[in-house]
Amino acid sequence: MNPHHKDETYLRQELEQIEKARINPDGFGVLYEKYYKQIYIFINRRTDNEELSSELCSLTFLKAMLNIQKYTDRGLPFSSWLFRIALNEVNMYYRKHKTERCVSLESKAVRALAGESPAGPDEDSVKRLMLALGRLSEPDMQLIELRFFEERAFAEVGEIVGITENNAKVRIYRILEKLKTLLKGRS
Amino acid sequence: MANYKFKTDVPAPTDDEIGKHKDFSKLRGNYESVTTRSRVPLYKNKKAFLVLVLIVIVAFLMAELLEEKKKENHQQKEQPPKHETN
Repeated sequence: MNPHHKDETYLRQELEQIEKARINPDGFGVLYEKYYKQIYIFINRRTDNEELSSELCSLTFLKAMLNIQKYTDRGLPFSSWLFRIALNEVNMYYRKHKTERCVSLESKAVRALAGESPAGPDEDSVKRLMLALGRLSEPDMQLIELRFFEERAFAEVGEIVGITENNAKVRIYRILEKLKTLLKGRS
Repeated sequence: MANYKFKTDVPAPTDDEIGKHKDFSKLRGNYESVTTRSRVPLYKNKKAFLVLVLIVIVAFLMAELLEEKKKENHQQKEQPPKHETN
């Protein structure tokens, strides 16, 4: 089962918590406690820096708290909205500082992704895949990170990036095609 | 093209490391300081805007008046004294 999937009861309870936070800012504490770890890890995977992760995490929750009246339920966990804010914060940081963007990979996921290449998941194809990944644009890399390295559902990927589920599927399919072309070009 | 720094199999931060930064009361304080700050710009507050315009007009008129007086004084100094002849 997808670890990011949540059932209806969970989502209904969460909506109640959101309503409470809308009425009284202290109610946001429940959502803060519930999601701090997830958001911190999400940011840390993209920065690999403790202090920076903490700073961006605080900004994410502050913005969420300030804009909670604008939150609209789309049948996805509240965390998707928080991840979206967090991703924007990370993107803004890299745009401002123009430093190397950190991408955390799991070798298992890299091997699985390389398995989709014509060459198959051997060591050499993994190396070539890493080189091909390095040639992806930032928005493409973000989609690959969310879908393959964090194993998120297309609907959640779309929500985080700000596109529809179908658009997310199409774009990820195109990126995989692009990776295959890049791998063919290198082999 | 973006520059990437790939990190493979990085261990997830521990609960202690994460907990060190978790502080809701600090977040609540930041929220308060942002929301209690006057968020209506001066030009959008009718009263404040009128007062501001009035101050600018008075300052402008005073500056004009002073400039006029200066010119008059200068002209008076430059005019040669009149001699009466019989």
